Amino acid sequence: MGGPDLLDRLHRLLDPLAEPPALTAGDLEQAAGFDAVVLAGERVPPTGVPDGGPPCLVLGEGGIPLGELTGPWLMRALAWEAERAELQGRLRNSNRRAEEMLATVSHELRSPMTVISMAVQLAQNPATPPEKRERHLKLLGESVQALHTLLNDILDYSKLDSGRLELSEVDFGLRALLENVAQGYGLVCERKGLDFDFKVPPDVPDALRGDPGRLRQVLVNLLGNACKFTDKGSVSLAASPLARDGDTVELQFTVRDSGIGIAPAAQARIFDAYVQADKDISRKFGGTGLGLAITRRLVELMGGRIWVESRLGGGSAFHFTCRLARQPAALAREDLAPVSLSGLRALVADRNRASSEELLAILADLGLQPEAVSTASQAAKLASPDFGVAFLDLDLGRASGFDLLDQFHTKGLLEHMPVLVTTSAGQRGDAARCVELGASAYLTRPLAPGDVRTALEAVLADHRAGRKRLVTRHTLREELAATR
Amino acid sequence: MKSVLLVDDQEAIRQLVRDALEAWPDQLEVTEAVDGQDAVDTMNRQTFDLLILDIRMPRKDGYEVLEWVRSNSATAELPVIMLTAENEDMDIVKGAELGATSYVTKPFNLDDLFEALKGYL
Repeated sequence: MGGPDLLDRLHRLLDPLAEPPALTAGDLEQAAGFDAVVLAGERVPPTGVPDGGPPCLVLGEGGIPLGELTGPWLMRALAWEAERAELQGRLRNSNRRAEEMLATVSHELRSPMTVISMAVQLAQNPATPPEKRERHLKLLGESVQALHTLLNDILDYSKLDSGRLELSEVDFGLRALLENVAQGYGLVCERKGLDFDFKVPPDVPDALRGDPGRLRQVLVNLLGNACKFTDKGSVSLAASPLARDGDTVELQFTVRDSGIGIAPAAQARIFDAYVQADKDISRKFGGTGLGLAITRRLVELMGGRIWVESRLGGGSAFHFTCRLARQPAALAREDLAPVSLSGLRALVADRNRASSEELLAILADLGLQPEAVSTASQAAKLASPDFGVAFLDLDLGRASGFDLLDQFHTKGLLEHMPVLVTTSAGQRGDAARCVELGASAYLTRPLAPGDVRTALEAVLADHRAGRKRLVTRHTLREELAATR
Repeated sequence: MKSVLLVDDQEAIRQLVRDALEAWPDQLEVTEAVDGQDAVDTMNRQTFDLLILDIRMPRKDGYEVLEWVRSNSATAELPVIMLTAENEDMDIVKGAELGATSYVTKPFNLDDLFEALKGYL
């Protein structure tokens, strides 16, 4: 048998679910008569069978003889066999995980079931005093709630796994949601003797549109884990805006703890379903191993990603991003609202002392808090998202000025700290370079206080609304003309 | 009065088992431990007539506590009832090999628990 007939037989044999029979003495005898043998996708001796070359016996996984093949037929059979073996391996892993999950879920069901069963039996006993009966009913209620949560987790995962879970789209206030979650976990931490820190900077937008319930679920899962695996030290929740793009905003959330940490090998697996960092964790802390798998899928549905930084014994930081729509009414309000310059920290990088001092005086008069540096390296060292704006003079050295801007751009600092590039000697191509590197304005000196104010207001309004454009003397003149 | 050390990391189960034990005809003195390490610390300070021991617990699990109990001369003969949600045969065999006296799986009837207690109290 050879060629298409054999390929047809092979096709039927390559059923990924089929368990191959054990190798028999007869199979080995048959194998001994051939020049080459292929076992589970691997040829022995090495590949290079020419068309019309000697026939090879193909053995599948476990030694099942699949047939005799030559040249191109052999290559196709090899590819099928390798694919089948890989698929079978994945199915086995998946089945093993599902079995482990069933065992874990069954264990997790038993605990609340025990409480329910005992509470009912004790409450039914006429000898039980009324105050105890009341306590038993309270425990019963709590266990019913725990069962409810567990079943919801299982149903959520099942829906996410089959792509049947859809996010809602409603208007909500992000700050109220975060404060509410933080309040609950602040209390949990207080009970455990842990510090709880909660940080949401003012540039995080509040009026958003999306699925607040699912966002809360992600935060609750991560904070719940942080509290569960931390015995001393602290837990924190922070949010920050990553990027604004027209009517959407990308946010990053971080849940950090000083708990037991996660081994590097386990970090890659913890977002898979049914997996806990290790067996000991499952034994000691319980849980189904579905929480982080659900969390990852929800984050992905919200257009984001999730990752972890952790060290065994050194705590963990779970970061996730998500994209949310901004409420149209809020966008309109923000566009109309005046920009506040008061108290804004401004970084001024200029090698020329006289022009630097002149700009510092103008900024201070406008109510900003300016800080000056005279070299690109000092500016790179000092720059941080704590600055609300930066002025970067190309007199630092044209190359180093643009290099510095490039560094800010690469580090993502421009998302928090828009940069106004200034120069006393503009050159052809400067503006295009500014656009390429993400600067918000390009202004030629001298700078009058009115110019600085107008440019700052335009840049900060653009930044707040997520608008990308380069403000120049020309655009400012055009806007001024349009308002007259 | 007989003394019992009840070890379970779930407060609800400790409360309910305590209430059940307090309904036992003979008066029992029930002490609670919140995890395996707490159980060992408590047994280092005090002696008991019976240990009721959960398996899945933080800090030290029930098997580790059982090993400690059997290797310690003061507690080597202490009757130990494993009260646990682990019901795989292998878990029962492991408990028996380490010296568990009896095994009650969750969820259980109070009658099952009383039946297990009868032999030791």
